[in-house]
Amino acid sequence: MSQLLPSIACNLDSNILLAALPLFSSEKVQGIEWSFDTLFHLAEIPGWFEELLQTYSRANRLVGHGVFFSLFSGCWSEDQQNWLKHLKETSQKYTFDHVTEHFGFMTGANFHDGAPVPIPYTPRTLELGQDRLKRIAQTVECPVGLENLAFAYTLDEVKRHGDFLAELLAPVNGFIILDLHNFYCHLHNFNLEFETLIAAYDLSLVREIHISGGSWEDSNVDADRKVRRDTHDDAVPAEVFDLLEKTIPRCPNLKYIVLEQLGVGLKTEAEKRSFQNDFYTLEKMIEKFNHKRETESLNNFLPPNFLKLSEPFEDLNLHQQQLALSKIIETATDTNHAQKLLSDSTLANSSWQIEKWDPVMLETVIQIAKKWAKSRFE
Amino acid sequence: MKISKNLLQAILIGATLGTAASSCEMVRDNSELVHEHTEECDEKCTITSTVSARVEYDCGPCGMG
Repeated sequence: MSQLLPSIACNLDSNILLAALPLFSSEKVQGIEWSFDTLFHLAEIPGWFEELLQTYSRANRLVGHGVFFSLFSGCWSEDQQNWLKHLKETSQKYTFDHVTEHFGFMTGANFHDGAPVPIPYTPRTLELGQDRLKRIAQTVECPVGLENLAFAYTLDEVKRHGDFLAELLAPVNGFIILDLHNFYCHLHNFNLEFETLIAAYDLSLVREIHISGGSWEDSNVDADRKVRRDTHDDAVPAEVFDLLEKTIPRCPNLKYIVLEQLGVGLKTEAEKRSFQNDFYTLEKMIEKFNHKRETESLNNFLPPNFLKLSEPFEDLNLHQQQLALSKIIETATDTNHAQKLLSDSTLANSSWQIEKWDPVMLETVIQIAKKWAKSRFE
Repeated sequence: MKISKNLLQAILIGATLGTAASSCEMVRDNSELVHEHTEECDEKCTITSTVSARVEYDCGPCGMG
């Protein structure tokens, strides 16, 4: 087992950088995760930020975390082609120890908008996701991984998520980022026990873990329920640290544990101190486990030398359904309206199984989509 | 992991100048400042400029759900 590296998600954000500065000064941060595609429109990265990235790159402690590729979009787009081109250039400039993306497809009409939402688990979506992962692996020639998604419509989907991730990643010898806050969302939102859900993941595939905070959302559909959302705007809950403590010893190939928090949640001195305290808690826990982890990782997760690729796989029917779903969740006035629109759409009686969707989670996805649509127009 | 003092100083200046911006308050301000070498800088200091962190930021890592 390799030594675990306490790391932070570090982007070009004043609040994040100021919160992280004391941690950098005291040489605590052993790795950084950079969302390399979030500065897409920026002509030049500030020299000092570039130097920070290069410092970790030279030590082979820089990992790339993509946000906008939209892995499961049914149609191959010029934007995805450009994303790969940008990744190629970026990975020639920096040495990434690995590169990751999110599960799902992005809602929103344009490439850089929306939030990732789930797709049906079918042989065709499997083929689509494998095709896209191969393209990423071929571009970067380093290990490639995929993060478990926080959002799900049904309990069945949550239970099958780990297996589907493993199948997706197999052709590229890829790995899972196990986001424990996303996992916590699933435990709460679908009333699951830790042991039940953790058993649904092949933990030998986990090379990175995320920890973060989130928020609670009241439901208008069911007043007795609160939904846990992965908003990254608060400190890490004690429950997530408990999950981390239980999960670490089960992941023989784990390397990075990344603390994520948004800059909007780090505005005050108290919030910055809380972030630093979360990091110290993480570091202390890692130190305890590192004493027991002496051997090297059994899987380097490097993709095979030869990946067979032809024309990008496309599913036009899926694409049309994704457009319809995006429009519905962005424009529906409430959950009942969304249910009506869905039942009248091509998603009805299809592999999407909209008839089984939890109305509270439909309400949640509408809120997520509207949040992103709103930010687009502001 | 060790970060050089001059880099830490440059991060502090860049981030402080950009405190009005956060990941969700997109502001483009690429105003560049000349980095003046100080006693804190080591001989190999390669930093030539300091650009404020007040840059357009696409808000990507915002909590996805």
